[in-house]
Formats: sequence, C-alpha cells, structure tokens
Amino acid sequence: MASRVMIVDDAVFMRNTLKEIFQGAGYEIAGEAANGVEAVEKYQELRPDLISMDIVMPFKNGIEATREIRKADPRAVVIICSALGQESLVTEAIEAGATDFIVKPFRPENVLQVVQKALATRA
Amino acid sequence: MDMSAYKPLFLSEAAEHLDNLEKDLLALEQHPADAERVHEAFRHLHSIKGMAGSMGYSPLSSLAHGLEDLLVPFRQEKRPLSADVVEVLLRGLDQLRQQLGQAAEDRAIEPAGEELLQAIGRLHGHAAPARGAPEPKAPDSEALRSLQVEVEISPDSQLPAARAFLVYRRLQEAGRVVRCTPTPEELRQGILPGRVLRLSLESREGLPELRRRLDLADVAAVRWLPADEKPPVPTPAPAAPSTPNPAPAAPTVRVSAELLDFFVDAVGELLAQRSHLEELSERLGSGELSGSVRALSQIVRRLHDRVMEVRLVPVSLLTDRLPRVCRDIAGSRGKKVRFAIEGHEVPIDRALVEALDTPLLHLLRNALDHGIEPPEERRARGKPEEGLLRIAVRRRHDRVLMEVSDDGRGIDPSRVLERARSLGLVPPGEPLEAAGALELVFAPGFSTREVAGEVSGRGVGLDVVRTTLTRLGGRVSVHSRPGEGTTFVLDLPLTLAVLQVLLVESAGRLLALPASRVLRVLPLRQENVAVRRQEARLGEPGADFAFQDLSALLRESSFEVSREAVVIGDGEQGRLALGVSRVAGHREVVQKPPGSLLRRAGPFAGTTVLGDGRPVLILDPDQLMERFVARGEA
Repeated sequence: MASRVMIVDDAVFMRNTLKEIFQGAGYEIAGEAANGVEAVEKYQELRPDLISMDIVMPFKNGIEATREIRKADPRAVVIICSALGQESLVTEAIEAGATDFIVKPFRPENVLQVVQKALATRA
Repeated sequence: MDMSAYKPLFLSEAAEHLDNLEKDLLALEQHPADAERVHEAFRHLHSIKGMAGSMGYSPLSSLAHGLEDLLVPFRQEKRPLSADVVEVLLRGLDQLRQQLGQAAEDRAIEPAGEELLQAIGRLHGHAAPARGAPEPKAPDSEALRSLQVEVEISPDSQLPAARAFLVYRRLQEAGRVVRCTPTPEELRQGILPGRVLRLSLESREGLPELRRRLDLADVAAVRWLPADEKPPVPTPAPAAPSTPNPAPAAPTVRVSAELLDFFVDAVGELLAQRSHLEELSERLGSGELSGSVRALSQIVRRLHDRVMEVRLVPVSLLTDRLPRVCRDIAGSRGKKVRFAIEGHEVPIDRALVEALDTPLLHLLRNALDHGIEPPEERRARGKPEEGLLRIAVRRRHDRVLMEVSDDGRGIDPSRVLERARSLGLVPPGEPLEAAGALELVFAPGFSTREVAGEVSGRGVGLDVVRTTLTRLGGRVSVHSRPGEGTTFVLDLPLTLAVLQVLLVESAGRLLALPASRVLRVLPLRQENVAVRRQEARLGEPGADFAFQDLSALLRESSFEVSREAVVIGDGEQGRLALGVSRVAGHREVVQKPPGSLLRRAGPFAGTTVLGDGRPVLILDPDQLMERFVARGEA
C-alpha cells in the first residue's frame, strides 16, 4: 500500500512542486495545509504516514506545529523543508522532534531518499 | 567499506596514542603505583588495537592486544607495575611505531619480532592468568558500552551542520552522548569543519541498532571505534611535574599543514599589499580611499593575528619525545637522570618544532655526556646521585625563551680557553674574561668530540646550535658555574613567517634590516663622526657608537652622502651605527630564507618582496657586525 503524505507549505508553488515529486514516486497525497494551525488540525484528522513541513508560515510556524504533532503522536514522521543557510531553524525543528529535513530548492532524488529512510524508521 | 580514506586519520590518531602511551609508561617507571596511568596506558593500547583492527592491520592490532593484556592484571588488582613489564611495553611501543611506519608507507606490516613475543609470553606466564581479558566482550545487549563514532557528512549535503546535528540527536536517543565535536551549539550555528562529526557515546544498544539509527541521507561514512569503559574525560592533574598530562583538548579539527602554510603565505602577501595600499592612499590624499584602506588594514591585521595563532602549537610537540631519549641515553651511559619539563603548553610556531629538534637534541646529549656526572662522582661531590635535566619554556611578549639546564659539573672557562687556544681559535696571549671564554663553545670548530668520544657520534658541534638559532631569528647563550651546572638559553621569535623590517636606502639600493635588532635611528651629521683609534665613532649625547657606512661594509661604492645612521645591536652586545642614505620606512614582510648562493653573496638573512613587487634583500645584523669586526682586524 502506498504511503500517505501530507504537504504543509504556505506557498502554493512549493506545495505543487512537492506534490509532483511525491506522486511521481507513487506516494499518495493525503492532504495539504497552508499554515501551522491547519497542519495540526489536519494531522489529527488524516493521520498521514509522513508530513512535509515548511518552517516559516503564518499563524503557527512549522517548528511549533511539529512540536504539537509529535506531542500528540510520538510516532509521527515529520520532514522539515528548509531553505539554505537556516541551520539554526532546522536544528530547532530537529529538537522539536522532526525526523529529518530537506533543503529548497528541492532535488527530487534527495527528497525521496530522505522520505524513504524516514518511513523506514517508523516501520 | 573502503577504509583507505581513513588511513591518514588512523595514522595520526594512532601516532598520538603511541606518544601518549610513551608518556604514561615513562611516568609509570617513576611512579609504578599510579593506577590512573595504568588505566590510561591500557586505554591507548586498547584504542590502537581497535583502530588497527578496523583498518585491517592485523599484525599491529595483535601486538597491541598482546601488550594490552600485559596490563590487565595490574589494572584489575591495582598493583604497582613492575619494571620488567614497563621495559617490555616500551619495546613493544617501539615496534608498534615501526609497524605504523610500514602502514604509512603502504608496505607490508611485519609481525612483532620473536624476541619481543617471547618476552611478552614470559611475562604473561607469571603476571597473572590473563584470561578474561576485556577483548572479545560479546556484544551484550544489557551492557553499557562506550563507543567513539566518527561521521562524515556527504559533500552533497546542503546543510551539513544541520545534518550532523540530526546524527547527534539520533545517537542521543540511543544513549548518552558524552562528547560531541563540534559541540551541538556550534552545529546550530552551522559550524562543521571538514564535514566530520566526532562523538563519544555510551549506549546499551548493539551495533546493528545503532547503524540503523544513522541510516540517513547525506551521511557519507560512519566509523565505529571501541572506547574504553570510561569516557575520555580530561585527565586529572599530573602525577609528577616531570611528565605532565596533555591539557584537556578543546574541540579541534585536523587541517593539512600545507593548507595552513598557504593561509600564512596568503596573509603575508595581504600584509604586503596593505602596506602598498596605505602608501598609495597617502600619496593620493583621498579621504574616502584612506578611510577604506584603514578599515581594510584592521581586518587584515586581525586575520593575520588569528592565522598566526593557528600556526602555533604547544611546545610539547617538540619536547614530548625527549624524556624517552633522555632515559635511553642516560641508561646507556650509566647515569641517573631525572628529566623535567616546564611550560610544555607554551605555544610556538609550528615551523620551530622541526627546526629546533636537532639543536635541542644536541643540547640534551651534551648535558648527558659532559654535564651530568656518573653517580659515584656525584656522590663524592655531595650531590644527589640522580642528576637533573630541565627544560623550561616560557613566553615573553613575542619571544619564546627555552632554557636547557643541568646540575652537572658545569663548564670551566679556563679549560675552554685552553682548548680554544690549542685549536687556534684564539690568538695566544689574548686575555678573555670568563663570559667571553664560555662563548667560545659556540665557535665553529670547537668540537667537543675529543671528550665526547662515542657520544655525539654525528659530530654536531654547538656552533650548529647557534647557526640554527640565528637562521631562525633567535639567539643562544650559555651560563655556567663550575661544579653546579650549565644553562643554555634559547631565545626565539614566536612566529617565523612575518618579520618587521626597517627599509633603508644605501648606495641607491633598498635593503631591509630586522626591526627587532634596530636600537635607534639617528640623523647623521658628519661633524659628529670622529676617528679615534683608527675607528670611526659616532658621538651622540649620552652615547658613542662604532660607525661605518653600510655601503662600505657591503663593499659597494657610493657617491651618496649618508644622512642617517641606524644603530643595530643586541642590547648588551656589540653595537654598530650604520650610515645610510635614508631610512625608507617600516614594513611587515614575509621573509623568504636565503638560498646558498645568497648566503655566500653577503651578510643576508633572506629576501622579501614588497607590496609593489620590488624584491628586497634582508640584512643579517650578526653577520654585519662580524664583518665590521673582521675589517677592523684586517
């Protein structure tokens, strides 16, 4: 059964890019969210196998959302989407419980490798 | 996994372990009951065994294993280490060094010699049942194990430090991370030099589980090394001042010496360019430009200071092997000697480590051969049987002072003088005060071989020590009291690469003088120059110097009138006022050592290239003064 992925990003363009990458590799898109608040709500509802999470978003940032999701479900797999040079934000997200991270601009093979390995930790 | 990429790291780490092991063993020879040292020695052998094993160097690994086992009973029962065990361990250590050398040169590694193996076997026989040695320790999932982990992040990684941080977090979930280099804080700031993360971990998990945790994208390689049961914490205060422990290490990375040299050279060139820019902006008189140049200058200065710091290494790199050398020489001469090093942590220029090796060894041999008396003689003189050989290093401003002293028989100035006369180094009948006579030991040709016999073998005289020091921009002096001992003082610059010089013009040519040797610059009025006792003197209020035109000293004809005089000297020793056309300024330059051709061409210490590309010869003040004295005598 294909793993179900939820994409969280405030930019439609980024969501579409990721959607293409995931669908191209046979993953199922469980849903999308445009900010942290929406992400926390939708996670409870959709229970995807994996979330791709942007950091800088309105209302609630990705780090805060990650922390809440992991608190509610310690087995949640969250992949942080970061821009270059955001070491301190990424490390903060890792401390909040993120499983791994990918860096924009995305390289599909890199994204898929990270996602695959992250899902394997859950198995 | 292909381990060849780890070879340089293995070689340098294993060599470090061996050096520390040697220190521990020598300390144990003095204090055999030092349980902490036994533990440390064990730890070093254990690490070498593990590392060599994972590199596939089985002869190395198995010898380390054999030696490690020798320590087991002493370690468990906290017994004092017996002298024969120390002896065999030292011999084993030498062999490990040889094997390491073979590994470095990609030669086949020879197994330990039969004789050594037999000695180890004999000791095993009566040391204790060496069963239950810690080696095979089955991966017991219950047992808490210590591991060293080295993780290399792939060059493809876009955020390598964050990637390393993830590794750190993953291992934290597996147990306790005792040490992490760089620190998590540094990783947060994006700092990961060389893309390598090193951790010490205590965990109950087995290797397969741990490996799975680090199955991450962009992790290029993971190396697992066994550590001892105890995490490597900074060692406590040294047991004896003679063999201090290494200082607790700050997080470090290994950088190739070549790269460092490049930095130093580049910064040196930057300094030169800076001087040139400063000159230009001054000439152009543009406020905007000069403000910017000033700002640039400050940055270059800071950069230079930090880069120079990187060049500095603790003096222990130079002195660490000396206790062993001292022990071996003293042993072969039937002398009892205690060796003490003070200030092993003082930083010196990396280039000095290599350059000083031979001179220091020579001074050491000298002290052991001629200085320190045999035990009977010492007893007869009312001295303790054990002689003292001491190296004390300290920093004074931008100089490093190194004292090599012994409490032996000292140097008798009258005998030195006698010998110098017999060698024709001093004209017969010329009186010399004691200090002057002592100086003669540095004279070329004043070999001590006659007395030394089998000793120095290589026939290196103290003149070589002096020549080396001079070449390094340093000095050596000797102080001695007959019957009480001798002290050699080595005075060295902290860094070698950058030299402060005074530029002077003489006979239409630009020349440089090391600024550290320039005492004064005086305006020159010909009426102040007088000829007394066939020697020109420059009279100044409160001072009177021997005077000579620089061009004449360089045997160049000049039609220019000297307008300024630069007084060079050594502080106490000779002073000489050199007449020059003008003083052209003060610069920081990168000194390039003189080739043999230049050495023969005149009194030059090297060359440099100024910011505007002009090559300039750097004068050697000592040779200038010698030349001056020689002229006077001719």
